[in-house]
Amino acid sequence: MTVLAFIPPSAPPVLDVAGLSVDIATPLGPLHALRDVSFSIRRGETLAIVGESGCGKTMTSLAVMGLLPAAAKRSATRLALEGRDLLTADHKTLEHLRGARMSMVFQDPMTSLNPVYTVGNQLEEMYLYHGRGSRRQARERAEFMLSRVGISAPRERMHQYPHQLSGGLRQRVVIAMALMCEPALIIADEPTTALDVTIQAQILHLLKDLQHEFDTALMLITHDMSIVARVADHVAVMYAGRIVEQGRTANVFATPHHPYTQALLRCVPDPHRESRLGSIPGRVPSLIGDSPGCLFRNRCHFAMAECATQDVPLHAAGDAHAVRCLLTKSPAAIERKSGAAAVVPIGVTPRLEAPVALACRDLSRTFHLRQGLFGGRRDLHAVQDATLDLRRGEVLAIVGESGSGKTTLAKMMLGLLPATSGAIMLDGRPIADYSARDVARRIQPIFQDPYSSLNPRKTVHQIVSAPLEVHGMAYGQERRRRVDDMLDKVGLSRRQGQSYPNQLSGGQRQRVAIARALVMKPTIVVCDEPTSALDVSVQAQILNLLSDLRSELGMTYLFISHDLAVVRHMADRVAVMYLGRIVESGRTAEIFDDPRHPYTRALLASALTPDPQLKLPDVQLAHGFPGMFAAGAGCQFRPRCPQAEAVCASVAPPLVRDGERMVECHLVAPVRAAVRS
Amino acid sequence: MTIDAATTALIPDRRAADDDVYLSPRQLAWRRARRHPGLLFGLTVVVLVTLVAVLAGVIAPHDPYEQDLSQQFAPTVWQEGGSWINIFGTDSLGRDVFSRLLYGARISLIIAFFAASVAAVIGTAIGVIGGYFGGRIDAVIMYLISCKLSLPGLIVSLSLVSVFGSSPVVLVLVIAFLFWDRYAIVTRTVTMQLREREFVTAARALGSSHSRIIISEILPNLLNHIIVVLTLEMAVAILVEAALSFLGLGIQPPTPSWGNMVSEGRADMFFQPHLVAIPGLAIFLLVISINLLGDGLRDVTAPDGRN
Repeated sequence: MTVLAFIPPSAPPVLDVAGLSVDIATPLGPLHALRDVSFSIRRGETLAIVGESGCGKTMTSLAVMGLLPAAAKRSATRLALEGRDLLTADHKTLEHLRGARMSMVFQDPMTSLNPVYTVGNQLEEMYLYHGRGSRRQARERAEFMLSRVGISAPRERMHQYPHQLSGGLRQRVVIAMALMCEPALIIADEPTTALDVTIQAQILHLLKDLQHEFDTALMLITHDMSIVARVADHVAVMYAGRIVEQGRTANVFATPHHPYTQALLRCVPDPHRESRLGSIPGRVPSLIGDSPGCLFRNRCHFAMAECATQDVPLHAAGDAHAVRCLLTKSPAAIERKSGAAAVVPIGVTPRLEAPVALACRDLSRTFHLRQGLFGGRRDLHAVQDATLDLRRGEVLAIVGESGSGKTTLAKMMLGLLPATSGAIMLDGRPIADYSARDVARRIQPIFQDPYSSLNPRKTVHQIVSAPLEVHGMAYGQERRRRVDDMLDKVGLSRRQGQSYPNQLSGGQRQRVAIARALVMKPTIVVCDEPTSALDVSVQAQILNLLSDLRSELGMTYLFISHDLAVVRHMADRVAVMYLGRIVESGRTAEIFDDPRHPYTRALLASALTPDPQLKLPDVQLAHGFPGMFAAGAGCQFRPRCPQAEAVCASVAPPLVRDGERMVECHLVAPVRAAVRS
Repeated sequence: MTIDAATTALIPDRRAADDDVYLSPRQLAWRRARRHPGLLFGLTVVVLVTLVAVLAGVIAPHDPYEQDLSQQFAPTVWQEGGSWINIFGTDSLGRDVFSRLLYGARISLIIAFFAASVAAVIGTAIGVIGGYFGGRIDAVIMYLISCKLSLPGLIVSLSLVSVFGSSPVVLVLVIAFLFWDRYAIVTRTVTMQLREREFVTAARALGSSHSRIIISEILPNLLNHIIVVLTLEMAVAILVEAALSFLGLGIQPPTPSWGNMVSEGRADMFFQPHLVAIPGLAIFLLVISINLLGDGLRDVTAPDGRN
């Protein structure tokens, strides 16, 4: 925001959009993907566009870039890039503007680079296509950009192919590519959603630094309120194709006026508020056909009769802050509004002294990978010497970045994958003593992707009754009753029992998956990233449901997640995994308030909270891709560790116990600690 | 469809609308089918031909076997001297071409349907087992499929038919054993994808047996694919039967089949071209309709991106 001060207010915005609408012709009638969207971004400024999926965020960026699908029709009163009209620009002009004056960073760095060209090739191509200079200049520029985005040894990287780079490095290359021709505007569409938390913080940092350096305008599309708070100068909250609230980030976060903005903010798990999460009931309405009034009214706690009929324009609500809501126009309504946001505390007490329900001792799983027909075997240690106790009635969370072995561990706990060595004890007996069906009756999974975890050819009722069928539990009327009860408990109607998964929303599907897991009344549920495929508003509903069911049925959860805010909200105890090893475990509060392992510290430092006062954290981690294969002796985390010492390279770190607490690190070993002090 | 895939992905209505907007997979397929001209055309012709074949005994104006040498080469109704008695004229033995065409449809359809169905059972079993179990079992199955693919189908069926004779049952079995590969390839690939889906993992976590997973989780998801391949393979089977009959190794005279009608008409092709053209056109029309039907079914049942 300091940058703003140097720019005279008369400077024309880099991107100026007014009255932008997009209609798509569908067999069911015109779909109003965007309605009357107006915003502008100046040099060096960041505008975040935030909202649930299906609200038109990506559509906005495509409309600006002129990359809308053929069936879409765009209209606007003004759409200008650096004063140049994009509405009337022909194909050729647009082609030269894209990449040169405005460029995009996409969500998934795995798919946005062409796998058959080297990194250098793709970067140079960008430069040459726009006629910026000779091949030699292109190469120099590409190398310069690679070093600018923090890639070490850029000359060597130029000759590598995308698959040889990690996700974080690839996203850096994509950013380098976007900046090759020094565009005036960068559109970043969920640039960090596909990345791990530690990498996310680094990439956001990089984007901000480069933006300052090159003085570009940044349009950041995200669903994550925390990213908005930390990165954006201005924010536009979109709902159902319209901007419902717009303004300075600090203002919008301090006094959110629109009920939708308020609801979105309440959905984010907040470590300082031990309470039930807010959630937004219902879902984004269909945008097909004309409907007057406020489109959020069906999900709004404060909806009035007038909301259905009156179209409200975006109107000023304080300094650099505008909102599209009837309530803010009448002060009386605001009074009513402030009283409604009550919070209900979760009524669950952690049971740390309860008996151990599921335990694993020195559990390891090694995958033997064969490289081609004649290549040698390589061992991938997915899980190494994991020791955990899951007590009855508690929520034990396993956190870690992708590739840390969380899912492998979960699969072994479910009995779906045999362990290479070590033991799993279920209720005090080795799991090998139980038949697969006995294990199934006690432990049930909930998976990450509700679009993949339900059989599309079966009705909800069939899906939920399958466990009873397989285990021959309850017949006829009784079975029907139990399934209906279960659907009731997870908040699905009986009518929905007759529908197929494709007729349900993501959140409803996840409810079905929960019902299926719980219908046999298992004692333990393994939740593998149960909300990471869902919108924040839906995530909050599912987390609330899981909490409710836990207190109602006395469930025990093994909760796997990469999202620290969710873990802090849900878990009694936490185990942190890194490259197959549990590097630290303990009570949630201990871990979060006093992390001891450098990795845990880095992980916690990278997690963002929706606090616009705080800047982006500076994560002191080398971003080298952690080797998936055996890294030799010593500590696995050493290559990325900011505090690594000589001993870390040669000796495996000792396991330090401190009551509930376990840490695997040389730096916290009492002997060394004593020597150091 | 008026909108392309990219647009469909952008339309939020599938995930975000009122419950009633949503349709079950079957309703969705039906709704799309009603807007699919190719499918409607193919379906109409196939239904018509099937009806005609079933009702041949009722519709046919003459006995297809009845010879009348005095009525040799009667002209068709649109030729000079033609009459409505023999709509498509008569052949070299004075038999009514129209009646033979109707009865011929019966043979063609029966052989095509049974051959394609038996092949479906063989191919699906092989494909599902390979795709589901993977590893060594799959390697063996892939080897089997490769062997099959390297056989020249028509030539092998020629030799088999000449060895085993040419009853309809033999024809069905020979065609079935030579044309199961497409089912195997399609079902194997789809099964491999389904195996990785979480609902299969969920079924395993329930302690379901392999056979239960295959039958109740995987097969329902394969059904669409099998039906699509089935229609396409029926078209192939009709052509193979016609080709064998044309070469004199298929359905034996005097039983009418479209293939041997073309074969019999060949001798007089230059003087009575319609004797070849009419059954030829019938084969063409039926095969293209079945193909359109198959393509259409594939379009309308294609799982909608996510389901």
